[in-house]
Amino acid sequence: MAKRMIIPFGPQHPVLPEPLHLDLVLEDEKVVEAVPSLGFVHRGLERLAEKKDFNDLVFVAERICGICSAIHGQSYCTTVEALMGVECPERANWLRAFWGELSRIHSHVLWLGLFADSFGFESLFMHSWRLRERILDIAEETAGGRVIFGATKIGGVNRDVLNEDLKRLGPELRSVERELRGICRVFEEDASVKRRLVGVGFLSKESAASLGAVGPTARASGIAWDARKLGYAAYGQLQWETVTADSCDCYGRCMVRVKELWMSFDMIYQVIDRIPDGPVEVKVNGFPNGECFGRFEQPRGEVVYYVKGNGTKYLQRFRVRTPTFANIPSLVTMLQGCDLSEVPVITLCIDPCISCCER
Amino acid sequence: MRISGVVMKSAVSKPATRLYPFSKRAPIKRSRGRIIVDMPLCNQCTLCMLKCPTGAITVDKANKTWQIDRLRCVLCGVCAKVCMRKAVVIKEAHAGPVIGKKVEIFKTLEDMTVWAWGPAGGDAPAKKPAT
Amino acid sequence: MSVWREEQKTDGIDRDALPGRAAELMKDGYRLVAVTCTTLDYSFELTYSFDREHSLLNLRVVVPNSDPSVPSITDSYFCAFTYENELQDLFGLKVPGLKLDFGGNFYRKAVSAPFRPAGEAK
Repeated sequence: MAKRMIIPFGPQHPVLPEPLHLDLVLEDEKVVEAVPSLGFVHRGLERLAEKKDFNDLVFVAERICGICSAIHGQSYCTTVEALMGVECPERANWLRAFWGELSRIHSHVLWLGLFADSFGFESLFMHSWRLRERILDIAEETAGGRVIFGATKIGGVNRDVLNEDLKRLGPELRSVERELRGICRVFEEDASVKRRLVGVGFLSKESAASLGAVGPTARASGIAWDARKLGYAAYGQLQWETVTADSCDCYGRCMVRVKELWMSFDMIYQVIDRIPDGPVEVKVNGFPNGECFGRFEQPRGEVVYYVKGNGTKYLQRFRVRTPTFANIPSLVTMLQGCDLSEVPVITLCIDPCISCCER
Repeated sequence: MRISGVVMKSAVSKPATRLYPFSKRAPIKRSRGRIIVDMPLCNQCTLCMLKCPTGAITVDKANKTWQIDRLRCVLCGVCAKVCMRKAVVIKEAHAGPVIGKKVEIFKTLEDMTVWAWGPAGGDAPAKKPAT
Repeated sequence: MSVWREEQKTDGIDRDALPGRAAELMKDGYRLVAVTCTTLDYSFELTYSFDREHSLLNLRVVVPNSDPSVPSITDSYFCAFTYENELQDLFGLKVPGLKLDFGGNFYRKAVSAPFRPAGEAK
C-alpha cells in the first residue's frame, strides 16, 4: 500500500531565485498534489499609489521586479499616457522597444542559466551568466543602469541615445549573439539535457487555454498569443513573428524562449537601422482622470495594468496582474503525477518571478 | 557532448573575471553612479529637495549645508536635471557601500567643498513642505 | 500617430448573474485575464476581464460593504481560484462556492484583510 507524506519545497531552495512555497503530497516518490502558498515578498506596492505622485510612481513600478523592470516601467507609462491622452513621440517609442527587447534578452539568458542549474548542468549556468554580463554592459552604456534601467517616464524617455552610439553597439550585439548560439546548441541537441526535459511537465493545449496560461508556457502548447501584437511602442512597425512550439513539455518551453532570443536580436537590429529622429519627451500637464486597462508582453507572459485616477495627483487604484500569477494554476496542474526529481525543473520552466507575483 | 566546444574555447581564452580590488573596471560613460554637489555653486534654492522622488536630499538654508541619504537615493538624476546652477551632478563612478544609518553632509569651506558623515535624522524623510 | 489604446468594453452586471454569464463566455471561447478589485468608500468595485482574439471584455460588479460576498466562477473557470483566494485574503470578501478554498491562507500575512476599506457600512 502506498504511503503518503508531505514534503515542503521552498521558500529557500537552491534552485529557486525567489521564495515560493509548495507543499508536495507524495506517494512513493510521485507527486500527487501540490499546494502553493505565497506572501514572502508581499510589499503592498499597490497601496503606495495612494501616497506618491503619479509621476514618481514610475520608480515604484520599475522596482516591482528586478528582471522585468524595464517593461514594468514602460507599461505603467504607456497606460497612464493612454488614460491622459498624451501622445508619446516616435523616437521615444522606438527607444522603448529597444530597451524592452534588451530586457527580454537579459531575462531569457538569465532564465537559461537558472534552468540549466535546476537540472544540474552548472557549467552551462556559468557560461550563460558570463554572456549576461556583456548584455548588462550594453544596458549600462545606453540607459545608465544595469538591472533597473530607469529609462522611461510619463511622456517619453529620460535620456536620448545618439544614432552613432546605437550603430556602435551593432557589432557588439552580433558577437554576443554568436556566442549565445553556441551555448543554445547545447540546450537544443545535448542528449543528457534532452533526457531531463523531453516529456516532463506535460500541459495539453486545451488545459493551457482553460487554465489561463500566458507567455512561453502557453506558446509551447501551441497557443499563438503574444501581447506585442497589440501594437504598442513601435512593435506594430517592426517585422516579427510569434514563436510557438507543439511539444507541450519543458523542452518545448525552452525552445520557445531560445527562438524568442533570436527574434529579439533581430528586432534590435531593425531598431538600430530604422529609428526615426525627433524629440524624446513631451511635457505632461494635468492629472489622470478615469480608468484604463493596458496589456503588455513581459518576458514571462502577458501583464495587465489597471490604472484609475480621480483628478488628483494620487491615483485611486493601481493594479498589476503579472504573468506568474496567471501561470500558478498551470504549475499546480503540471506537478500532478510527476517525480520528485522533476519538481525543480517544472517549477522553473514557467519562469517564476515571485516578486512580480506578489508585488 | 555539445558543451565540449564551449568548454575548449573558454579553457584557452583569458578569464572572464577580474581580480577586484587590485584591478578595477573603467567606469562606463553616462552610467548613473553617484550624486555629488559642488558647494561653492550651490545657492540653497532647495529645488533639488522638492523634486527628489524619495526625499533623499535635505538642504539647510540657515547653516548652508546640503545633505544626501545614500540609502534613499535611487540615482534617478532628477536633481541634476533641475539644478539651475549645475551644482548637483551625477557621476559615473560607483557609489560604494554605506554601513549604518548615516547621511553625507556637504558644506563650503573657503571656496572648496568639504563633506562629512552625519547621523540620519530620525525616521521622517527630508523636510518637504506639506502638499 | 494617435495615442495607443486597446479595444476595451465594460458592461455592468448584477452579482447573481455573474456565474451564468461566465459560463456563457467560457463556451464562446473567452479566457479569463484578471480580476481587479477597487475599494471605494462604502463598496467594492470588482472588474472581471476576459479576452478573445486581442479584444478585452470587462464585467463590472459592485458589492456593497454591508454584504461583502460575490459568487464564485470557478465552476467555469477553474483558474479563477487564485484571484478569488486573493479577494478573500486581502479584501475580506467572501466567495461562496469557491473550489480549492485556502480559507484565508493563500497569502501569508500578519494582518487579516489589509486592503479592506476604512469606511464601515452605511
